[in-house]
Formats: sequence, C-alpha cells, structure tokens
Amino acid sequence: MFLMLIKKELKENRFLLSVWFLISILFAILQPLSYDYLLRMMEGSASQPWQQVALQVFRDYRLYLWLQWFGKTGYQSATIFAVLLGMGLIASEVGRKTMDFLLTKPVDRGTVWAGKFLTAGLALWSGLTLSVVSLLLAADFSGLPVEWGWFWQGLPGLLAGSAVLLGVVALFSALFDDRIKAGLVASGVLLILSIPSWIPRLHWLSVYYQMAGHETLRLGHVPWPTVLLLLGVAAALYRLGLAVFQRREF
Amino acid sequence: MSDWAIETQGLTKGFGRVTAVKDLNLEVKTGSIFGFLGPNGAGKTTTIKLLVGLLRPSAGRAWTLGAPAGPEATAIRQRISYVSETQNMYNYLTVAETVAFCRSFYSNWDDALVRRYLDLFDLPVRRQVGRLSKGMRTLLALVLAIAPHPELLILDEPTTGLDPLHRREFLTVILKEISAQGSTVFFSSHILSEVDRVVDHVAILSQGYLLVSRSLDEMKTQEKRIRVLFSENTPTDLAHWPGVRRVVQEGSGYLISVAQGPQELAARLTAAGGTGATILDMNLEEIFLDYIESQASGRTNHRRDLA
Repeated sequence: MFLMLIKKELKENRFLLSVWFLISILFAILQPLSYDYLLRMMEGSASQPWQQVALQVFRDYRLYLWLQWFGKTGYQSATIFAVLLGMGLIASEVGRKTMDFLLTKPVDRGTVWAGKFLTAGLALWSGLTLSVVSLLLAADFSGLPVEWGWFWQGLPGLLAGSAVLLGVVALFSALFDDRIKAGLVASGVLLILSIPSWIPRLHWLSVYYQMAGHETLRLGHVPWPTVLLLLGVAAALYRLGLAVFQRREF
Repeated sequence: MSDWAIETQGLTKGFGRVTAVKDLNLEVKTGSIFGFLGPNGAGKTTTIKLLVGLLRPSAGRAWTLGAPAGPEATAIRQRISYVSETQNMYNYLTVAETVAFCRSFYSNWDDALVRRYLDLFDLPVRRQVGRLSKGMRTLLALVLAIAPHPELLILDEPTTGLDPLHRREFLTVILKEISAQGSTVFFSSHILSEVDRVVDHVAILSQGYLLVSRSLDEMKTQEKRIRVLFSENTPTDLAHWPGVRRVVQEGSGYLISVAQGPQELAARLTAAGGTGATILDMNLEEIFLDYIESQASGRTNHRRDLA
C-alpha cells in the first residue's frame, strides 16, 4: 500500500520531477565544463581591483566549483524545487477534491503524510545527489578533476537544509487548500529565514548558510552537529505538518 | 454483529455560525437499503462525511458497523466503501492503475468481480480516468466500491447527472452485488423515483434536522392525505390531533396530511362533523415534499419517531 502511494505520488509529479532532475544535472555539469571559458573571459576583462580579487578566487578551481555549486546553484535550486514539490503535497489533493477518495480508503493519515513527504524528500535528495555525481563526473571528463571525497563533504549540509525547507513548505501545504497560496506563504517564510544570512554575526543561524557549505569549507570537514540539528528541525517540521494534517477536515 | 450498520446519537456539526447537522439520531439496520433524502443544503453530505471520517462532529457520536466513526477509524474502513457525488479520482491514472491503487488498500479485494464489471460496463482499462465520461467515471467508482465486498456501502448522490441507462445499470449492480449479499446500502439521492425503486427504509433530512425515519412500506401505508369538508364547527385544534402532520385549507374543505392511522383519523373527522372524508394515497415524492413544506411552514421542526 505504501509503495503504491509513493508510485502514485511519482506519477502525479512526473513532469516536475523530470524538470528537477534535468535542471539540477544540467546546472551541475555546466560548472566544470564552463570553467575554462569563464576564466578566460574574467582574465580578459578584470581591470577593476574588485575584479582582480574575484579573479584570484576564480583561479582556485576547487574553490570555484565549491562556491558555484554549494555556495550558489545547489542551494538555490534546492530551495525553488522544495517549494514546487512541497506546496502541492496536501493542498493539491484538496484543490482537486481527491482527498475524499484517498482518505475514505483504509489508510491512516500518518501513512498518507509519510508517503507524500518521503517521495518529495527523496526526490529532492536524489536530484541533489545526482547533480553532485554529475558535476564530479563532468569535472573528470573535462580534464579538471576534483577530489570526490573532499567535494562530497558539502552534500550532507545541503541535504539536511533542503529537508528543513521541504518541512516548512509541507507545513503550509497542510494548512491551505490552495497550492499556490501555500507556495506563496511558504516562500515568504523561507525569505524571512534567509535574513540571518545577510548579517555576518548571525549567518550561522541561517539554513541557507549551512546549505551553502561555508562552515564545511571553513572547518575542512562535515559539521555533523549542525547537520544533525538541521535534520532534527526537519523532523520537528514533519511532525508539526502531520499534526496539522491529522486535525484537518475535508 | 451489531443490529445497526449506522447509528448516530445527537450528532451535530457546525461550520462557524452555520449548523449543518443538528442533533441527529439515526439508526440504519444491518442489511437494509436506506434512502437518505433531503433538499440541497439539508445536511446529507455533511452527515455522510461525518460517517466516513472526513469530518469530526461538533457534538454527539456516530458508529459505523459498531465502531466509532471518525478520521482515526482506519480498520473499519476495510469493511466500508464510499462513493461521493463528484467521484473525483486521479485523472492522470489509467483505469487499470486506479484499480491497482485501490486494490493495495484492501485485504479482500475481488479481482474477478472487478474484471467482470469492467467488461460488462465496457470500461477501457488503458484510458486515463480524466478522459472518461461522467457515466463511465460513476460506474468505475461503483466497481471500485464493491470490489472489497463492503459490509456497508455509502453512496452520496452517486447518480446525479447520469443518463437513465447508466442510472439503471448502477442501481442494478447495487441490488445484485451488495444487497443480495446482506450488506447495507446507505444511499443519499435527489432522484426520488430511483429511491422508491430500491430502498426499504427512508429518512428525510431538512435544514439539518431529521424529520422522519421509517420503512418505505410503512411510509406508504401510513402516510396519507385525507380530504374532508366541514360546513360548520370545524375543530379548531385539528392540526394538533394525533397523527396529523399538516392541515391545508382548500375552500370549505381541508387536506390533512397524516403520518399514521389514516382510517382512525378519517373516522374521527366524520364523528366531528366532517363529511366526505376520503383517504388519498401518496407516492414518495409527495410524502417528501409534504414533509419539507411542513417544516418550512413550521409545523414539523423535529423528528417524529415513527419507525
């Protein structure tokens, strides 16, 4: 039954999931493949002092890849797709009026919630993991390889952070009947969550700062306590969303 | 096994300032085909949603197959099927995928029965549900509902919008597959002719109140109209006589709706000076309309326990 629920979720979101996998892999492989071209372009145009500083960073290939992927594209695409995948989790069933059909079957709401959240979460995590694999393979293929073991260290924080974002969006999907409304409100909350990352002394409080791998880069290893804390927050949001879903009437 | 497939005690459901179901006390005997009637907004769908666990009561309680109804009653839903008015299924799944999806929830799913009815109704298994006609969707919903051999089948205006052919097919299946097995059918409908054809017990709900609940046979033998003339000395308390449900004056005559004991009442009217007392039969539609109009005029505002 649980597998059938997941299969149904996969079919329901097949278009979005295809776009997610395609875009995340495409963006990932573009990072190493476009390096030489971007470096030449930077070298040819860096006349201002700040451009010279940027060029120094650019010349460090490992740092470039890390900042381009974990520091920018990875967490940004994870945020966008967490909203797109999560906003319809419950709200789309309500909006399409299929919740009656589902909840009058002999299935408890906890199972329904788990099936939906796990499908979205695993899709998000699979896309991010695949994108990192794609990036590393593309780096090997382009003749500019990076150490896989080192680069992988950025992934746990990105995955844990994306689970938090999905938890936030799923909570609003359980609250609202309309998926667009759920998505907009959740996006607003995610924007508010980004405020600490704009303040240097508070940026460690931002989920995005942790997803961007800055702490990993600084420490030189995976900040497991932070990762576990993020997973704990995601679990708490999961439980909160479930409680909202269980209390709702349809 | 409980005598009652459905039982409610003081069941009440409000939405903000509106109370959709008010102090509903209902008993549906196991094995019966129960017609649940009422005009739009009467509270039928709300009652059904309370029974299948989509809503929680504001007050009172409900039991289905002897177990408390509610969102948490997962196990009992193995033995209950529900077909809603709209039959909203997953449009992107094919008929075969929808069957497989529903099958995964039940332990006693009957594949042979599903195949038989999909063939009989000529439902294209590879077609997406969203591309089926309204009639086909209804028939598919019915097949999915009967496949786990439910002990209680709850239907919320399932034949609304169906053509007579599909409606007949639908009702035939209910009678053949569900009722013949001794299962209970709780059936809400606007279409009184089809209710008249299949049900053995009727309840009428209006503005959230249960107006009457009794067997169809009893309803047809006891619910009558009496036409009578009074040239003088009309009893002033006629509307309050036992068994009288409604009194309408027509010139010098009266048309009296009677809930029980029409012969006794006709005799009493004659003894009180009435002339030409004639007992008139009523069909289900007339009985239904009479109850609704009685309530609207304030004569009936709560259940008359006549079962």
